[in-house]
Amino acid sequence: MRKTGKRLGAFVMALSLVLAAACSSNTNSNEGTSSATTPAESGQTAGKETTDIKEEYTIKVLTQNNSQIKKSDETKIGKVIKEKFNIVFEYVQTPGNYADKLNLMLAGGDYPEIIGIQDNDTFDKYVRAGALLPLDEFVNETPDFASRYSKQIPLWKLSANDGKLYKWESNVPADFNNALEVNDIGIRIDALEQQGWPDLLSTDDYIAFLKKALADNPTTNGQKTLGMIVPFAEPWGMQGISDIMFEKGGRYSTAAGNLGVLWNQVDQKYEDRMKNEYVKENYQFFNKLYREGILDKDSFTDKLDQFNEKLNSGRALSSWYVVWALTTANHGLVEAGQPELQYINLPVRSMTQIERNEKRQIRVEDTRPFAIFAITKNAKHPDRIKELLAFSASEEGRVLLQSGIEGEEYTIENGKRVPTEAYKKAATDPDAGRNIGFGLFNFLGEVYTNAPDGVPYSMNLDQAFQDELVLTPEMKDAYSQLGWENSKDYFLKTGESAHTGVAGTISIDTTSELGALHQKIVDFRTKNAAKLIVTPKSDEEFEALYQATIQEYEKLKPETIVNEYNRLYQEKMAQLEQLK
Amino acid sequence: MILKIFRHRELYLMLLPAVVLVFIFWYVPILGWIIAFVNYKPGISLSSAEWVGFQQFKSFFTQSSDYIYLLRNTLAINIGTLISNLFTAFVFAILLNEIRLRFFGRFIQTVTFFPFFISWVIIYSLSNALFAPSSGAINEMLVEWGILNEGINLLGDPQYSWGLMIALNAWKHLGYNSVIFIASIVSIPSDYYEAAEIDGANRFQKIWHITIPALIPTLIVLLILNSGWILNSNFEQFYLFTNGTNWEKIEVLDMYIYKYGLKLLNFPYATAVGIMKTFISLALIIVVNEISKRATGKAVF
Repeated sequence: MRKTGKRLGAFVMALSLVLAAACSSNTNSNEGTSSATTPAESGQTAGKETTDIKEEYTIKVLTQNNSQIKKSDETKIGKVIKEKFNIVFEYVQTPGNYADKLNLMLAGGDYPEIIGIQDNDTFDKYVRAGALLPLDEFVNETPDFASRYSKQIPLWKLSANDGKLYKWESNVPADFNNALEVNDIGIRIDALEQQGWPDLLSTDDYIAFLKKALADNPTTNGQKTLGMIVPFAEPWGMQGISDIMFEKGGRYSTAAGNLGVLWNQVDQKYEDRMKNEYVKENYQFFNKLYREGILDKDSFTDKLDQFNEKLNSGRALSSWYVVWALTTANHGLVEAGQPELQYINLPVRSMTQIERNEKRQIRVEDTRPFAIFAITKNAKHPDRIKELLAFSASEEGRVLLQSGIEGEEYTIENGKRVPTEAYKKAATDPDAGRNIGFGLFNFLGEVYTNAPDGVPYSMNLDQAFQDELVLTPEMKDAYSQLGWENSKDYFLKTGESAHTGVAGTISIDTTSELGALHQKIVDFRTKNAAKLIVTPKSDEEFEALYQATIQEYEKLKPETIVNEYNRLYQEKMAQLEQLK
Repeated sequence: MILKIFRHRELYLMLLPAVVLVFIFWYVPILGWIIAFVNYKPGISLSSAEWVGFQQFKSFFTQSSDYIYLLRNTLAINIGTLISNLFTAFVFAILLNEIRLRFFGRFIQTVTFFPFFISWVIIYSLSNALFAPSSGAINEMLVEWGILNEGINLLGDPQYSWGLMIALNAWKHLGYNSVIFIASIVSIPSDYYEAAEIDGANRFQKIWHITIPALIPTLIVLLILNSGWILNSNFEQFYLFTNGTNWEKIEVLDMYIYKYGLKLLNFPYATAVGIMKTFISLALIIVVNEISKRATGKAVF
C-alpha cells in the first residue's frame, strides 16, 4: 500500500513537471537561442547566417488598419520572416483615439513590445518614463541600419531629451520623385473640355473658370451642381487646409506640422501662420468663392463622408486639397457610366505667388514623427527584434518587405526589378496587397528611396508606374490635352525638394504655458477662419474684418511662440552639429 | 445595529456587489485627484512628481476669459436638455398610457426607444442628410417648393445651435426617459381611477387629478439627480456637431477639457477642471434638493 502511494506520488510529480514544462512561457531574454519544441530553419541576418534553433516568438502589434490578416504568417512576406527568424506578428485592432491609448498604456506600464507612436510629444513622454530601449549600441553594430538611416539617426536622437537613439521611423528617407505630395484642386474633366482645356493656375483663373462652369452646368444628374466642396468640418479641415495656400508657391513648406507657425524653407526660420500673406490670400480666395456662390455652403458642416458622397456623385465641379479621394470617385464614376465627370488634380497659386513666380517648396520628409517605432522595455527578446530590424535595413530585407518575392511579385530584367501582374494587382487591390504582406510591416521601417537598381523599393512609387495603375484613360487624355507628360509633370517642373531637416523635429512642450498659448493661437485662427470666409460681402469688408481680426490676435502675443520655435531650432541645430 | 444587519444578512449580501462596484469604480479613482496638484507626467510615478498646489486651478481662470462663454453654453444647453428631456418624457408617458390599443402603444414605445441605441456618428450623418443647407433633403425640398430662397443652416448657424442640441437630445432619449414614468404610472393603484370613474371624472380629469400628482415625486427625484449632471455634456455629440461656424454657441466645458487637457497631454489641468466640475455639481444637487424641499416638501435627502 505504502509502495503504491510512493509510486502514485512519483507519477503525480512527474506529470506536474511535464505539465509545467509544457505550459511555461519563454520569459528569459537570453532564451532566444534555447532549444524549443518548434524547430526553426536557419536565420539569416543581414547577410550573416545563423544556425540557432529558436522558439517561435509572437509579438503583438497595435494597428488601426482594417485588415483581414490577423497574424503575419498568413502573408507571403510574413512566412519568409517566420522561416528566417521564427517571429510572428499578431495584429491587434485598436479602435478609437490612438494618442489617448498610448498615454493610458504608458501610465499603466502596459505597452506592447514594439510600439508605434504618432507624435514627438508622446515619444518624449515614453523616453522620459524609461519605457523605451536605447538603440545606440545596435546602430554601432549594424552598418546597414546606420547607413540606410544616416541622415535620420542624428535627427532621431534630437527628439530624445538625453540625446540617445530610441526610435526609428517609417516612410523615411524619401526621394523627391518618389514622395511628391501635391494636393491642390480636383477639377471635373468635362468642365475643362467645355472651356477648351484652359491652363488654370491663379486663384482668379479658378474663380472665372468655376463661375462659367456653374453657369454651363447648373445641374448634374438632376441635382444642383456644386462649385467647390471642402470637408471643413473635419478636425483638420478648418485648422489644416483652409489656409494651406502657403505651400503652393515658393518660400514655405509644410515641414513643421506645427499649426501655429510656418516654416520658411528659404530663410530657414519660423514665421507666424495667422499673419502670413499667403494665408490671408487663401481666406480671401474662399471668401470670393463664397460670395460668388461657388463654395458649397455645406462645406462648413461636411465631414469626409459627406464630402466623398458628393465627389462620388460627380455633382461637384471641384474639390479643395482632398485630392486623394479622386481616384476612388473616378473609378466609381466610370463604373456608373459617367466617365466624363471624373476629376484630375491641378495646381493653384495665389496672385502674389503668381507674381513672384518662385519655385514651389515641395516637402521631402527627413523625419516622420507620425510614424515613430521603438522597442519597449516590455520586449521579451529585444535581441531577436533587433536581429530582424537589422535584416529589414539590409538590401535583401528591404526588397523583400517592399517589393515581395522574386519571380512572384517582380522579375529582374537588365538588372532592374520589374513588377509582375501579381504586384500590379496588389498595388490596386488592398486585400491582395495585404495577402502578400504589403503595408503590414511598416513598423520595420519602410523607406521611400530607390534601391541600387534605380527602382524604388516600393515599385509603385515610380511615377510612370503609378500613373499606369491609377489613371483612367479619360484622366490620361485630360493630362495630355493640357500638355502634361504625367500627372505630376507641372509640379516636378516648377517645384523643388524642401527637406524638412531639423524643422520636422521641433515642438513645444504641450503641457507648458507656452504649449497652452500655442493651442490658443491655433484655436484663434481656426475659429476666425470661417468668419473671414463667410461674413465679408466685398473686398473692402474683407480687409476691414481681417485687420480687426489680426488686432485681436496680436493681444495673444503670438510672437512669443514664433520666437520660442526659432530659439528651439537654433538650439537643435547646435545639438545636431555635436551629434554628427 | 449589528443584530439588525445579521437578521437581514441575505439582503445586505445581495447589496454587497453593487456597493463594491461603486466603491471601486467611483470612490477609489478619487485618489487620482492628486494628479491635479502635482506636475504629473504619464509613466512617471506620482510620488516623484513635483507638488504645484492650486496652479492648474488658477490657470483655468487666468489663462483667458474663455470659461465665460464655455459655462454659458454648457449651462444653457444642459439645463435646456434636462428640462426638455423630462418634460417630453413626462408628457409622452402620460399620452402613451392613454392609448387603448395595446399593440399600437407598444409599437410607439419601441419606435421611440430605438433612437437611444443610435450612435451620435450616425445621428450626425442623418442630420446632415436632412438639414445640410444646400444638399439636405428638407432644405432642398423647401427651396424646390419655393418656400425658402436658400436652405436654413441648422448645423452651422450659431443661432440654431442650442435648440438643435436640445431637440436632438430630446428625440434620442424620449423613449428611454419615458420608461421610468411609465413604470410610475403602472404603480398607481387602479382603485383611484375606479373611484374617479364612479365620481364621473373624464379622462382629462383623471390625468390631471391622479396621474400627474402621482408622477410628481418621480419627476422631482429625476430632476434632483440629473441636476448633478448639468456640467457634463455628451462629448461625442458636441465633438461631432461643433464646427468652424457655430463654435461660439456650441463649444462646452468638456470640449475645452479635451482640447487643453487630454489633447495636450496635460492631465493635471484636465483633472483640476474635473474636480471643479464635481464640486459645482455637488453644490447644484444640494441647492435643487433644498429648493424642492421648500417648494413641494419632497426631496431626495
